[in-house]
Amino acid sequence: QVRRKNTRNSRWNADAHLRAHERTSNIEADAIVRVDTCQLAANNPIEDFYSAAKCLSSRAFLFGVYDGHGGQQCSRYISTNLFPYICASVLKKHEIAEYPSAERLEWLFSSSDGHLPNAFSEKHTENIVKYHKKFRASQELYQGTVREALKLAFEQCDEDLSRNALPSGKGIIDRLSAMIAASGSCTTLAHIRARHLHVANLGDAAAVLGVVNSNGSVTARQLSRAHCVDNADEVHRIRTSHPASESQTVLRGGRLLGELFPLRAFGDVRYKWPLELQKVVLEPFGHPPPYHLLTPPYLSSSPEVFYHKLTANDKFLVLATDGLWEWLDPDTVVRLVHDHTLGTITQQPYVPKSGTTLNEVREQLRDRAQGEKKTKKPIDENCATHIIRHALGGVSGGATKQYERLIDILQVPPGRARNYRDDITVIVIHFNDSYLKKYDNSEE
Amino acid sequence: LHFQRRFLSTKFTSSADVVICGGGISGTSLAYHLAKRGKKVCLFEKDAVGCSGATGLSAGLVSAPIFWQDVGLQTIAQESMNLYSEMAKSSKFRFVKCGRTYFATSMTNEIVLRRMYSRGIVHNDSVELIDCQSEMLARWPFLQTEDIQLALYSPEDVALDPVALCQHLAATAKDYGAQIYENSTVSEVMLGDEGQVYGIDTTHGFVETSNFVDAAGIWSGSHLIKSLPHQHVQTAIYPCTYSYIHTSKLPTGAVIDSTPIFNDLDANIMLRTTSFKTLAAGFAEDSIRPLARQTNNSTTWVHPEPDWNKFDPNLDKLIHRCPMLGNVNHGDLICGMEAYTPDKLPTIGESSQARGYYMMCGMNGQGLSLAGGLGKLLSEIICDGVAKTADVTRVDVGRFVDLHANSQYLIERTPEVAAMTYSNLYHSHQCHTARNLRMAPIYHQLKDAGAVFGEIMGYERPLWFAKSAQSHKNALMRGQDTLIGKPEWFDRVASEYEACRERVGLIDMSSFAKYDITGPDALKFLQYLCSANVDEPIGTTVYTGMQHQQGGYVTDCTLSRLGDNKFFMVAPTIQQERCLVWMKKWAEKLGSKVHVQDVTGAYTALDLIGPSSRYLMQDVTGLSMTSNEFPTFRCQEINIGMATGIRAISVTHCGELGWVIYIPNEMAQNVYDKVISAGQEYSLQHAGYYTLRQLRIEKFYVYWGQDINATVTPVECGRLFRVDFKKDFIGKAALEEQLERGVSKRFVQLLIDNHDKETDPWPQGGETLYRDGRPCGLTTSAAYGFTLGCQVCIAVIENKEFGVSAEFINRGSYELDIAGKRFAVRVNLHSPTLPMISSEHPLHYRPTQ
Repeated sequence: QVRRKNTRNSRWNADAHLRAHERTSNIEADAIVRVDTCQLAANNPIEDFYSAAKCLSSRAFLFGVYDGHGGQQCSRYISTNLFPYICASVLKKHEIAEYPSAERLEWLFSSSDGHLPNAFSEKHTENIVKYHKKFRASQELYQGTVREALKLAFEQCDEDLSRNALPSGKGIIDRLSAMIAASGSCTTLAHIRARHLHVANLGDAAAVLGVVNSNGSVTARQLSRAHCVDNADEVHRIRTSHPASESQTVLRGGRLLGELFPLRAFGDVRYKWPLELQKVVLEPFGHPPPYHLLTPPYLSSSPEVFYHKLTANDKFLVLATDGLWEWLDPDTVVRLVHDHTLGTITQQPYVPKSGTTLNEVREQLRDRAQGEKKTKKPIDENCATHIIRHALGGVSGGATKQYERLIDILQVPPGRARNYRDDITVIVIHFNDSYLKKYDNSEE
Repeated sequence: LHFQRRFLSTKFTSSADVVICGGGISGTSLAYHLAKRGKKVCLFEKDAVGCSGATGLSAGLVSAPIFWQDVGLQTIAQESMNLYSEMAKSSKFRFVKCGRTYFATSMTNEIVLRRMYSRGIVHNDSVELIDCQSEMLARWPFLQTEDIQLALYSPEDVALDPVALCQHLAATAKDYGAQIYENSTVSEVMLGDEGQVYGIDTTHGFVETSNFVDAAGIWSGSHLIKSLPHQHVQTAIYPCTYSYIHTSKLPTGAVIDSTPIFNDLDANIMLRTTSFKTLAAGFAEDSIRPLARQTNNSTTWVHPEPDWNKFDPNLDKLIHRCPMLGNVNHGDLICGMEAYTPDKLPTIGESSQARGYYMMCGMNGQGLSLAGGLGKLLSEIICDGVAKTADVTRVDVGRFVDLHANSQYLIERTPEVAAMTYSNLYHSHQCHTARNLRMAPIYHQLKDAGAVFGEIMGYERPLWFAKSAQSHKNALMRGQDTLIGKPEWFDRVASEYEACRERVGLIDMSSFAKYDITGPDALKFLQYLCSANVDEPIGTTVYTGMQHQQGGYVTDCTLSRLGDNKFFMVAPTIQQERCLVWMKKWAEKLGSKVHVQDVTGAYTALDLIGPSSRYLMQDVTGLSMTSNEFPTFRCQEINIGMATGIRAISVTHCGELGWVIYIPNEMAQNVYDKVISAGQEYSLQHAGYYTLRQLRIEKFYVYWGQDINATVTPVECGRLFRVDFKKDFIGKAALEEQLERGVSKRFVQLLIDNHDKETDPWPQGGETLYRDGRPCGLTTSAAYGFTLGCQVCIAVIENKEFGVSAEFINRGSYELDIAGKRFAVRVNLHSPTLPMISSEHPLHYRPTQ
């Protein structure tokens, strides 16, 4: 009796722990029905952030996951400050309503508070207005493509972030700005305007589209490529942009200058600034420049942008930081989401235990089918939580096994948990079938 | 020393008449047949003979010929059976004549069994039909038989050891001089000039040969051929899973070694119980998975993961039929792979993509039952050019076109085919997967008009027209004939028929194979290929056969002369690839400067049938269409409305007055609309292919592919009047010889008396005809004659001893056995004169003589 009670309590604890930061937003506009998010910390404080907003000027929805490293400051800064740049770079043909650049953004949700220190926010507004003017002035950009606009917004955002950290005219260095610039953030951002999906990616977070075929099977379409040493194109890009003499040092042990895992990121000015500047600005705060810093910048803040026109087969989009992808591959993730939306529990194939008769086999198969119906509702209503549960608890085995593993891994307190897992952030964007079907054949 | 010998033997160059890849039942059977005929054969097997692939994993069950509806397949299965029993005599491998029991719980399958019984008793009177439950219970106490309507016991089915059989076949072939190489793979097939095979590269070395047979089972078509566009031959086979449970013996003393195999047709399950094991298979469509197409690299046999969840529906039915099965251990769920084809028939013959590259694959789960006979047929094709033992039309590789080899098409189709492993397929069978692939431009108009489509060669062809447009999915199956009772379409077809006889009907015939034959030698070339004289004035259409050297029909076709050396040929739909290959082969052989172009997909064909078609044609063309201006068997390029380049041919393929107009596809919708609106004045009605069938059978028109085929000559089917012996043509000598010798076969028309169309089983073709109480022939096709007011069949009567004179035929009294029920029939040597209720009677057709 006691044991059963304990089990129930610990299960309840695990569930509560998992769900502490889950959130469901019913958006029900254009192609998007609902967005599920969930987050689980391993660092203390957590270095992952996410945010969602709507650009009033173009009716585009923006979703981002930000995976910080070397501190939470940069990814926190990006989670609130990147979207305004994107809203400031709305193409002429997409502008449906005229808003001043500061009022274009409607926040949907965010894991960080949107408020910046006043001094900061003034400067930020100033930057945005400047950028907006610049964008409008450049005819080429203004009438160009979303891909180019996104690239420019990312680059400008990083440039401003980096400039904020420079000593002011009076030679004063803002401590917070310097911390922001010194830490880094990988970012995956989805830009969804009507049926047009752009995914801008910087670093090793990823976006995966769940495509359901007419026969009911679901396949994962990756809409981003990780910028890390496994990506041959990235390695090539970095190697060719530095002198051959550096070929031994530029990438060592699978890391940039032997230190940094992602090969593109916001912030991380230690890999961007020249040595002299770092000595002045960063060293006083305890950030020594990396070895072999010969021909900076080494790190790019230009995103890779993928475009996809949504069709009625595209059911959902999963944005997640690399904390998730360490545990689950994209195919499993889309299967989990798909099964979750169908209301069934993902199960491993049945294998009879030795000694069972065919009658028992049949009964067990029937029980499984019944069980699937009975526990039709998966444990979590939130799809993102469902994914994280399976990432940590495993996909195989019964509920008991799953909980055992889950409880084991959740017992490790944040901070120490970083040794076992990374922060995990998951956003699942569910698309509107009928909207996509309706517009499947039309232009817009 | 052993190692050295092996090492030396790995580096050889040799030559052979035929190289076979694959040591399963197909490869070893063929090697045996070829070696027996004195050919120098090399067989390469990547594993050990009989051990890998579908053969090694099969349960070793051989179906008796009685199972097949098609005469050709019956012969093939019989040949297999003969071969295996002969092998079993000379070697001691497991060979048990255990027989098989088929169960039916539904009316449809009851008729299937009754038809099987009718076929069976002709050869073997120990075939049994059992409809008494207490008898079933007494014979098979371990089965639950309460819901079984009818059981059929077929005594000739065999369970044997497939591996030992293959090894014995290989050993026997070796005795005849064949070389068998195990652990050796074919790595490349080399093509020389003109795409002719000249050599095979294997892991053992190079073999020079001009004939290669691909009997590699699921790996068929994966051999590297560098000079082909896809680097391998495109084949219409695809691997799917098949699953069965292998478990311990049933806990009953009632099971002995000679307990028959059980097949429950309605539940689609099979049970094989012996005194030491039990095999339980199920073929539910959703339990079958298509697998990845095998490539040459994946040479290891990897078992697909068995999936109990998917097998579940089968398990339910198995335990229902055999409750005792539930108490035995779960055993192993064995998941094998087998190669399936889009039409559930195997594939043999020379590929059109590489000369000398033969296929023998796609056994559809019946490899053991068919491969023995198919090996014999293919050996005949390789040695003599033509198979004599049985008609190969339905199993010939040439029945497929490129589209059939498309992976996506096969992925969609083959699980359905695999699910029908133990179903009888009839001529009108319709698949529900992989449909709507090829469609005429007017498909949607026809659909809106109520068309119910049937698929042929991927083409959607209207079979009949319902009162309103068919929207629901089941419409795919509404074109099927029924085995018993009046089919759904009967009344509608009656009205379509009436329109074609009394007014005007319109039938879409776009699926027919069409060719343009041009070039300076076109006339000379066709004169040699066709048995009729085609050197007629420009604008003439000739109905002719193309014969092979033995006089049989390669095809029949209509040839329209459009210019001095320009012909337009129309052939049956299923001939699209085969005809082309035949003509190209001969053009090359003869060195003729002739160009044959397949234009099947370029034209939409509308058949305007009926007495009013003349006035309708006049209205839409503005030309005079009187019997002087445009008599029958003429062709002319005409305009209809704004459209040009339409080929009008005054042959309707069913003996009625009318025209087929071949419209370039881009203008088809325009012309169709024009014809429909002009046709309103004459109460034009859409008709489907079934109407054509009723029309032509009543007039005793034999069709290629249904009634006649490569084993029938014009002498035998009463078409001598179309053969011109004054010129030289392929097969002339054989026909002359046959004329002299006389024939023992003759086609007749049967009119069935006292047949209640509401309650009696319907003829489908393949029924046995009795003359004075003794079997004398088989029907080939059947339809309801609306004018004659009875069921009408075409049948072939055979009398090998005395021949079939008119007197012989008229002397007998005849009965037709349809699903076990005997019907008195009247036998016609000629088509009866059909009364026309109104308007003119077409005088142009001459029925079969």
